[in-house]
This record gives sequence, structure tokens and C-alpha cells, in this order.
Amino acid sequence: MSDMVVVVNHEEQYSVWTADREPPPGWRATGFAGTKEECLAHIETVWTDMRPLSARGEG
Amino acid sequence: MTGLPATPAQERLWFLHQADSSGHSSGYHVWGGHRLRGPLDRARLGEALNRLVARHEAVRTGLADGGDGRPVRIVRAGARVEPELVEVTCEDEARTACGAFVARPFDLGRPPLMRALLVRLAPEDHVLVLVLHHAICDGRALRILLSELYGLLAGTFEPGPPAVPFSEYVDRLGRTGGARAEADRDYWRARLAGAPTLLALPTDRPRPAVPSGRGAQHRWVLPAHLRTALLESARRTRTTVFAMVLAALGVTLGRCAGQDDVVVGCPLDGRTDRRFGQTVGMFANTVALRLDLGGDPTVADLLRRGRRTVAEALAHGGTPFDEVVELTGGRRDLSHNPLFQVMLVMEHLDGGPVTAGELTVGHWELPAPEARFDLTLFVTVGDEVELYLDYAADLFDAATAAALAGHLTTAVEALAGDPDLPVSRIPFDSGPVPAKPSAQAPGEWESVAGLVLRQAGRDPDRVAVVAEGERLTYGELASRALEVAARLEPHLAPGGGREVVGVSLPAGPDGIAAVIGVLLAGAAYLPLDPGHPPARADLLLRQAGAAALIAPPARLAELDAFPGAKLVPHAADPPGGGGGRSPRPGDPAYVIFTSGWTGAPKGVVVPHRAVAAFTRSFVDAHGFGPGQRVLMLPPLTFDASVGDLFPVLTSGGTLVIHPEPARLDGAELVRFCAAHGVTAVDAPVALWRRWVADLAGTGVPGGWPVEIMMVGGEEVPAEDVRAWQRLTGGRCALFNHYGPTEATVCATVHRIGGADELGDAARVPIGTPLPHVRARVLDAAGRPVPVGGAGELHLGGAGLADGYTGAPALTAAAFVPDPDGPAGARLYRTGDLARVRPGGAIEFLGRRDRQVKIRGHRIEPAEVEHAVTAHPAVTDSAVLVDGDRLVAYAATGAPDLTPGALRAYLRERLPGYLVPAAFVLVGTIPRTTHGKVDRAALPPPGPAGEPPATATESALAEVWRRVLGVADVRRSDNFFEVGGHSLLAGRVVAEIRRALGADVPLRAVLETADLAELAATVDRDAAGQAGAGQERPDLEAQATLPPGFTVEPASPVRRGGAILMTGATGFLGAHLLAELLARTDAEIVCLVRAADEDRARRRVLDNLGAHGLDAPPGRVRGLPGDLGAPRFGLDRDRFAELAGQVGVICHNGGQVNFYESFPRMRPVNVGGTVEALRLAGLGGARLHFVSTLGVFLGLAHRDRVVTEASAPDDPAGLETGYDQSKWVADRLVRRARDAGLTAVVHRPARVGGHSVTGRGNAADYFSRLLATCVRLGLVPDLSVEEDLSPVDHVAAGIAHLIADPATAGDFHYFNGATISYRRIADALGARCVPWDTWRARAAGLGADSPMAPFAPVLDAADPQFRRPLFDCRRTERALGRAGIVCPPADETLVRRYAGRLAGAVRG
Repeated sequence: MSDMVVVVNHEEQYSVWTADREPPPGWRATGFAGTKEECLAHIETVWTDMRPLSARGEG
Repeated sequence: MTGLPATPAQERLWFLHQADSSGHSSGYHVWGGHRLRGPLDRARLGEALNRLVARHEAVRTGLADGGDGRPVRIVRAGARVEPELVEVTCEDEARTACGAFVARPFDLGRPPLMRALLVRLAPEDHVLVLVLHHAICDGRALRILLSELYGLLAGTFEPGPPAVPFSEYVDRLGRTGGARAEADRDYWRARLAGAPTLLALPTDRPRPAVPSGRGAQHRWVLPAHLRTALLESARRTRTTVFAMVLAALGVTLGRCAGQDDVVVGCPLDGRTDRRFGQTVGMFANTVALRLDLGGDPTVADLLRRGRRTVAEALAHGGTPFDEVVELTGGRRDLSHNPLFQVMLVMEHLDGGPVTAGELTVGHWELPAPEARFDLTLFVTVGDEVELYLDYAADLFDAATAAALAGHLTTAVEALAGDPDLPVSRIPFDSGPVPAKPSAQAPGEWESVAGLVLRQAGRDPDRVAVVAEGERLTYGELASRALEVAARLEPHLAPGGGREVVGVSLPAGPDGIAAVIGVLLAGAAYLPLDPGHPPARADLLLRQAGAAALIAPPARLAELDAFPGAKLVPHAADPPGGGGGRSPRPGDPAYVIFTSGWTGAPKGVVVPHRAVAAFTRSFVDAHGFGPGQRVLMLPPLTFDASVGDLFPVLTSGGTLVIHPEPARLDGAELVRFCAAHGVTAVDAPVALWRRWVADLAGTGVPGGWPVEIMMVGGEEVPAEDVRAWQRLTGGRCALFNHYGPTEATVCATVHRIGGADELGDAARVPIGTPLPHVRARVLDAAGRPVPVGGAGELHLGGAGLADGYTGAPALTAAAFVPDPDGPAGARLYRTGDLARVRPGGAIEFLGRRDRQVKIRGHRIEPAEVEHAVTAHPAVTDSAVLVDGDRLVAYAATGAPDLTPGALRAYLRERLPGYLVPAAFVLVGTIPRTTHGKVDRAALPPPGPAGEPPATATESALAEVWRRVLGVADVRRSDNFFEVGGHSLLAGRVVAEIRRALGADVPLRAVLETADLAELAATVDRDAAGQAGAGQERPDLEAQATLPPGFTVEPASPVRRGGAILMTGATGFLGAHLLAELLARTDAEIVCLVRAADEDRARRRVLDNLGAHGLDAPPGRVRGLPGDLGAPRFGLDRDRFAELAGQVGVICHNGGQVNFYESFPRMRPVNVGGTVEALRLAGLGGARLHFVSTLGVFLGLAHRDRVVTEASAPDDPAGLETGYDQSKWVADRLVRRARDAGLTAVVHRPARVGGHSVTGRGNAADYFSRLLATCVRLGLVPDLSVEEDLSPVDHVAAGIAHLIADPATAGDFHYFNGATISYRRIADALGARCVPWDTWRARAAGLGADSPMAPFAPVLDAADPQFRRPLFDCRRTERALGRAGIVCPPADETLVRRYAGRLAGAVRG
């Protein structure tokens, strides 16, 4: 039952969202869909730098 | 009269009537009435009423026990109704009279079950009220009766032959059946399978074990445009207004309760045949409407579902509701209505009569009916759509009802609008949505560490930290922090690697300087518990990827394996320079590990932005600044420490650190804070609760400097807050802090200031969000929950953590997209259930992952734990789920606490479905280091059930097997759970009577927890221990003022008016009379049973003489009468005359007997008091009532302090008929006082003999016990301390207070200077022996024993004398001023009594 999708925001923070609704503004679906567990397992592999994007720069 | 079959509905009402503890509930009365202006002919009214009685068979019908536990209908020929007349002077009085009239119980076996009241306001202004029992009348029937009555009065209605009798309907019901009935039953069985048992609508107060029936109403009218839209939409969609309202109600309840499966009830008129159109009777049936809200239907879909639900219910409406209940598993619980708790009633207005001949029939506001359901929505559709929401006041507050009403209007508007709107989009008010936080203006940014340096620059000499033997100024703190930063820098990656630095130091000057130093170096700190095993510290350091570690040298040695840089807090040669790099808002500030509910540690990464935003909010919320001295208790490893460190140090305050927080008990807290001038304390709830308990008796001293108490970490019990307010005199505001580490320390705050700000709230809110926080309560689908509804609390805003270090999946699961926040924002799912109260404060309702569902009930084990821990002998508890039952573990040190006692205690306080099935007593509840229950370490609960153990249990099991048709019955089986239901209960009672010869009340079958408890009841009955008193009377229902009770407007005090005294021929009465004679110069009229005045006076004077007292001539008048008779047995005129003569009534009379049942005591002790109140009300006399402290012996006061300000409002647990009857009388007097009567209540305890002469009441219990001791030369070694108030003292006290016309309130006469049995033995020169020895010897004296009348006491293996702690200082002060002081109960007094008694008994 693939009822969830993986979403990501402008800070490159990942989360999950129900497949039957548009993600809220500022979030976009990455294209990965599956059960909640599958989505979370996928995130575990793709979210490698957990720092928010704005905090990654040097200095 | 012969018995005719009753309808199923009548059987059900009869059953409810029997099951009601008093048989006196007005919950099933039906009433109506009007204000009639114009000339009213009473005789004509009476005649008209009786023509109705003759015309309608149902009005002449009653219900009687058919002998097999089922009722039969009896029709009484020639039954008559005589309207009662009450004359009043104002509308308030009329309302009071109506209220009492409609509540007065019916005896179902004595028709007519209709009565009429005529209240006369003025010669041409009356109120007419008809009251009928629901068993013979429904709403339609009442309208028929009123309309025919007014027609008869007007002469416009001439009844022809009697209306079609109700019996014909009963016959028809009996004939139908067969295939059709079976099909209906099949429908309901399938339709309601798996329906939720209890709607999970959050309540404002916990559900009581048995509903009180108290109700209130919220009324509103739909705006005109909505009325139009509703009617038009119904037409357009070809549905009914009823189905639309059902859909609106269903979706509202579903959203508030978090359910997509909702059951609502509705009444159905069974007059499907036109022949019964004018027949009075109970035709109504109730149907359950189950509405499926699943799958997010559109408005049009939902309306279709509503229409189909209603149509099907109508088609199958022939099945009696009770049968439906049984088909679906039966009623299991008396705390709520089965199948549904919300009723929907719709009426179409027909205008109603406006005249009856010369009479104008107008509106009169009658009392709202008792709340039979949690909620009842009445909708009347006329020129306006008017809605009434009746709500159970046990459960809901007015504000919550109003919020629900608002949601309903929203739902109606949506359902009358766009048919394609998904119902999830109905715009329910979900509370104030916090403003989207404005972005921080660039350039303004300063980290909390930078702000601390700024404080140091401003005032370097101000004290920043005070610890044991050490003070650190801001200047010193800054230089030490900078020094740490400088030493760290070489070990961090150049250019800002945002490394993590472990800090393994206690919260003290070193630890604080290290934390700030790490931040100044641009790194994040990871606090480590200095006491934890090195392996754990090592694990956390690795998990967080730490680059360096700051710890004392010994700790560094332990953590030798750590690969990063190792630093000690102080360097021998501090390097110069450095200065750190300014952290940016997105840089992590700290990583704090929490255990999480799964137990695996999770490192929460909190950015500087969050700490800065939190710090600013927190400083503002508490007014932190220079001069504040905050006691910091949490270690650095708890994020609560962040709540102390930065708010205090960035605002110029001082942190005060206690050297040993574990040692901080109440006394130490008071001392330490006073010594250090602490102004604010931050403590975990558990510790604060210990302080509340420690300081309950003493309070805090005046001038104690603490103004702010901040608590957090777990739920704050409301009773502790009240205790705190009391013990601090409201001078120390309490701040309840709520917030998970993931939202940075604290997200919501609730401040409770003054002494009574909490009111009677059952829960302490967690409050409103801090300005930087967004708090949203969302349902399982992520939609906002309407105000008042329950959902999961989500937190967002600037305080949000980045996530869990090294755990992307965990982070993604816990931090979810904010559906309506700023673009890209996240919300943290707290896992906490909460609701937004009307007004905006948030309430914590429990943990989502602890909530369990057992047999259709959603259960929060914490709620049960709360109730278990509230038992005085229980110190801690854990409630777990074992299969489909709840198991309670209770920690107790009390050796005499039994599982049975605990269960009995809970059954009085919790609804049945929350009472655990098994109890296990343990010494302590094993907990993990994080305070969580260690399930594995708990002993397993006992087996599911043992076979019957005693002969009675076996016999009962046989009865159950036979009646319920079950194969195997166990001791712990519950009647309902093995398939019992209302009607079967009656048969069980009948069978028990046959099999065991015991007369068990129906209630015992329903309310006992299990077979063993029922067997115990049967055994008690057989032992005759309580006899007729076995059936616990509903004392509260008995304490109702008589209808028409009114108080004459306060008349000027009548000086010289006579004093009426009752009970002058008793022991206390004799002394009281003597004192009244001495302390007043009034004539004293003594009401006594006698043939005439002269003999009455003689009896009084003889009694005085018998107690060694006398009376001056001419002051005492005898009044022959009887306390147990209406108007004291006086005729109306004499009673009225007496009312005018007396200025004071001293009601001291009553029947004293400790073995009689309540019904036997009631006529004199309650009836006499009612007459005394009537008399006082009539003439405006002041009433002094001599009650007893026995009214406080109930459960509610046990082991609690009782003062004169305590109100004995809860009679549960009163054991003797005497205490019960005195309680009712006491309650009545206080009710009358509330109604305006001047009344004083005196409550003596044990009245002993005269303090000087020793002359006592040889017949009383203590005198007999003492006489027995003297006879045996032995005293029982009982642990109780005896209190004895000498009769002369009590009498002088009461008489003194009577003589003072300004006396008001309650007075207690408990002699605090008590005496132990050992001292009694010393006084008598007797030997102290164990109770068993003593009672054997006393019994050996046989019939000759002075104890013979109290023989049952000797049967008790372990006599219990449990009483509250009486604090009678108010009385002592009042009497002390007049020089009336109670002598102590000491050896001298006992010897004096014994000397007198020995003589009396021998002589």
C-alpha cells in the first residue's frame, strides 16, 4: 500500500506526506512513494547531510 | 388489579427506576406547564383533570413487580389526581416550588403516575404544572393532555368515549413479531457491529462512576440566512432537515472526538397507526443512528449517508432499544448510556394553545430535565431554527458547550453550501492560530553566549553564579568562558566546522563557564552526566561525532578511548587571545540526548536560532532581569538547565545552585531560598509535589522571597496547585512549563497567580504558546481539530530543533510538513494528546502511545493511575494492559490495604470501564533511571479467574449459569461481562431469593464488580448485619427541601421571643435546657411527646431533676407534640401560631440508636428537621440545629482535616442509619440556609458526663464500655484515642452561641485533648489486654454485661474507628472569648466518670 510520498523543503530537510494531497507550500515531492516505512527507509539513505541548507556554508 | 403485560420500553424504565440507588430519580419524569393569567376556577380545574384521568387508561396505569424480576402493568380504576396548591409571593418562589415538584419521586406501583401543581402568584395569576412518569407518557402524550385540559377549561373540548386505550397498543405489539421482528433484529446486529462503545469526546471533568444527572443548557438560534439555506438545501438534495442536522452533528462530534464512526440516538414515535393519534402512553422508542464519516466524503456524499441512515433506522424502528443494546453485547457500564451518548431530538413547532376560555396561556420557564445523556441536541424548526444543547454538567463546562454549538453552526453552514466540499475542509474554529513569526532582521543577530558577554561588559562585578563556597561575577564568568574558547579553538576545524564538544561537568561555575566557552568557540556542547558509566558517555560522544571533551582529569582518564581532544576545565597556563567566532543562527548550540519512549537514546540537535528565540520569550514571560536570583536544579544533561542558564545570564540575573538537589525537601527549600534571597525556583514536577506535601501543614513563612515557582516535566495535578496556593497564600505564582527537547525547553506556559485562579478546574492547562512557538492540535489525518476536541499536539516556529543527530528516518518521521504554516516549515509531532480550550489555553490529555482501546472504550492508563495513587495508602502506581483487561499495580506500605478495598475505592470514583480487572499490591513500582515503569520487573498478575470459593459463591455461580446460560462462572466474573443485562438482573434477584433466601437489591447485582463481591453482599444480608439498611439509601436525593419551602423575609430579631426546644428530655437536652435558662431570659417551649401541656412540662422537669439540674419557675412551657409527625402533630393554626411566637428554634431532638437502619431513623431525624425548617421558614425564626460530627465519617473526609468551614457534602461511606439520617438533616438545614434561612449548625462529637460531678449518660456506648472495664478490671488495648467532651461544656457552648443573635455558621465540639486506652487503664488501675481477650471476657459476662446492648461491637475482630482529623479552632476561639473552655479528656475525668458509673451500674 503506497500511500505516502517523500517530500523535501527548501532547507533540504526530508519528511513524509500523504500521497492523496498536495504537499504544503515550500515542500516538493521527491518522486519516491511507498508505505510510511518504505519512505522512511529511503530517507535514511538519501538524507546524508542533516544540517539545514542555510547552515551548511562555510564561515 | 391484575397484572397486564408491560411493553419493552416500560420494562426498561421500570428497571432503571429499580436500579437507581434511591428509586427517586426524576430523570424519567415528563413535565410541562404554563402561566395562566385570568380568573381560575380551582374546582373546575380539578374536575377537568380527573376527566382526563378517566379518559386515558395510561394515566391510571402503574408498574409493579411481577415476581419474576419483570414488571407488570396495573390499571387502577377510580384513580384520581388532586391538584396541589402552593401560594407564593414572587416568581423566584414559584420557580423553587415548581423545581421541587417536578423532582418529587413517583412510586411506580401506585398509579396515577401523574400529578398537578397549581402555584398561585396572585388571585388571577397562576402557574400550572403537570408531571408524569415516562413509563406512561411521552412528549406527544404530554401535549395531548395539556391541549385537552385547556380545551376542557375553555369548554371547547368535550371528550366523547374514552381514547383508544394504551392496552390495545400493547396487544398489537405482542401480535407483531415473527419474521419481521427477526429481520429487524438482524439489521441492528449487523448495523451496530463493532461500533464504538463510548464517544471519545474530551470532557472538562473526569466521568464519574455514576452520572449525577445534573444538566445545563446552551441555547442559540441559526442566523436567518442559514435557516433559509438549510431548508433550501434539504429541498434541493431531497433530504430532510433532520438528516442534515444529523450529518452536521455527526461530523462535528467526529472531528472533536477524532473518530470517523459516530453513533447518535434519536427518539421515534411508535404511533404509526392513526388510531393512536390521541392516545396517551409511552409510544416512544429510541434508535441508534450510526454515521460513517470515513474516507473524507464530500458534503453531498455525507448527506446521502445521513439520509440512508435515517431511512433505515425508521424502517427497522420496531425493535425496542433495550433489545438492540442486548443484541450488540449488552450494557456493560453504568457510567454512560449504552450505544450512544448523544441524543438528537427534532420538533416542528405547532404554535400551542394561547387561550383557555378566559385564561391566557403563557410561557413559563420550567426546570431543565435531568441530563440523561452526555449531550442532547434539541432542534425546533419554525419561523426560526432554534437549537438547545443540553449537556451533562458532570462532564462539560458552559464554555465547551458554547464552542460545540459554534462548531455545529459551522457544520450546518458547510452542509447547506457547496456539495462538492470534502468534509475535511469544513472550516471549524481550531483556536487562535499563532501569527507566522517574522524573520529576524539581519544585523540584529546575537547569540546567547554573546549576550552573556554583553552583560559582563555592562556590569562585570554583578554576581552571575552562586554555588557552595563560590561566587562568580559576570566578569569572572566571561574571562573563564573566553579562556575555554581559546583553548578549544586549536582543536576545531578552521573556518567553523560546527563541531560538537562534550562537557562532563556538574551544573556549577566550571560547567557553566565551559558551556558558554564552547558556544563562544562556535561549537555545540554535548552535556554528559559525570556519574554515568564511561561506556555510555563514550557511546554518546561517538554518536554525536564529538571533536573534543571537557572534563575533570579523573573523568578524562576514564574516557581514555575517546579519540578527540581532551581538556580540563581550568588550564594551568591559560593562552591569551582568542575571542571565538560568532555563531550564526543556523549553527547548532547543543546536542542533548533524550531516552525517547523506545529507550534508544536520541541526540536532539538544537540550533542557536532556537535557543535565542526561546531565551527572549522566556525572559519576557517571567520578567527576568538584574535582581532576580533563580534557583537552578536540573543537571546540564536535561534541557531544563538551558531554561535557567541563558534566560538568567543574558538578562543580568543570578543563578543560585544548591549543592545537593536530592536533599532538597520542603523545609530545606524554605531555608535555602530565604538564606540566599532566591526569587524564582525551577523544579521538576515530582520534586515540587514533594515540597507541597512537606509544607502542607506549615506553609511558607511570611516574607519568603520566592515569587515565581516554575515546574515542568510531567502533568501537574490540580489539587497540588490548590495546596500550593494555600500554603503560599497566593504570593508565589506557579508557572506550568511544557515543552519537549525537540522544541527547545519550553513551548507553552500557564501562569497561575492569585489564590483561587484555578477555580474548580479538574486539569491544569499547559497554557498558551510562547511568542516564538506555533502550537497546533491536529487529528490523525493532519487536519486541525476544532476547539475543545482532542488531537495530537504539534509544535513549530523558531524553537524547533534541527532533528536527531545521525538519524534521518527518525527525524523525518517526527518533524513533518506544517500544512498551513510558512512555506517549507516543519512541525514536531509531540506524541502528546491535547486539546485547545475555549479561550485558547491548551490542555494535556495524555500520551498518544499509552492510549489503549478495550472493548470499545478508549482508555488512558494515566487517568487510572491518577485515581489509584489518590488512595491515601498508595504511594505510586502503574496501570498496564494485559490482553483485554487492565491491571493495576499499587505501591503501598500499608499492611492492611487489600486489593478488594482498593477496587471498592476506585469503583466509587471511576466509571466502570476504567476500574482495573486485577490489582497487584507491591512495595514499590520498579522504574528505570528515566522514571519510566520497568514492566519487566513487575510481578505477573494473577490468573484470569478462580473458581467459586465459598458456599454462597457456588450457589450464586449456579444461579448465573442457569439464568445467563453460561457454562463456567469464575469469582472475578462481572455480571455484564458474562452476558447479563438489565432484565436478567431482575431474574437473578428472584433466583437468589429462591435459592438462598436472601433479599438482594437489584442494584447489588448491577453494581458489584464480580461474583465474589455479590456473594459478600449476600452474606452480609444473611448475617443481618445491616438488615433493611443493606440497600444504601440515596441520601443526597433525600436531602431535598419540601416543595413550597420558603423563608419569610428576614424579620428584625425578635428580642424576648420564646425559644422552641426539641429533645429536652434527653441527656444533652437536659443540660442544654439548663444552660439556655441560665444564659437567656426567654421562655423556653419544650416540644415533647405527652398527653397535654402539663404532662409535657412535667416530663421536662423530671428529666432535669434526673440529671441533677433544675429550672426556675415559670420559664419552661411544655408543648405536646411529635417530632416524627407533620407539623409536629400540631394542627395548622397551632403550628402557624407557634411560628409567630418563637424567635429561636433549638432543634436538638432526634432518635439515637446505632443499629437502626436509615428508614427507621428517617421519620424523626429527617422528618423532625423538615418540620423545624418549615416552622423557622414560616415565622422567620433563627434555627440552631444540633447535628453530629458523625456526618463527616464518610469516605470523602477520611484522614483529612475537617474544620468548621468544611462542608459534609458527600455522604458516601456513612455506615449507621443514625449518621445517615443526621447527614440528611444537616444537609437540609444547610440547603435552607442557602435559601435564606438564618441557621446555625452545631456538631458535637462524643458527649461525655459532667466534668465536675461525673454524672453521665449511663446508657451510652462509652459509659457502658467504661463500666465493663471497671467490672472486669481490664481495658482493651485499642489504638484509637478517645475524645470526650463533657456535657456541661458542650451545652454551655451551644447555649452561649444561641444567646448571641449574631452567631452564624457551623460549630464543632471535638475535644482535641484525647486520651488513649492505655491511659484509661492507668486511670482505672486496670490492666490493658488485647482486644480479643477483652471482648471474650466481656462477652462472658452474658446478658448481665453492661455491653449487652452493644454486643455487635464485640463481634468485630478488629474494630475500626476511622474519623477525620477535626480542627475545631474556630469554635474554641468563639467559646474561649466567653470563658468556655473544654477540659482535657484525662485520667481525672475518666476516674470521675468511672466512679459515678460503678455506683450507677451497681445501684
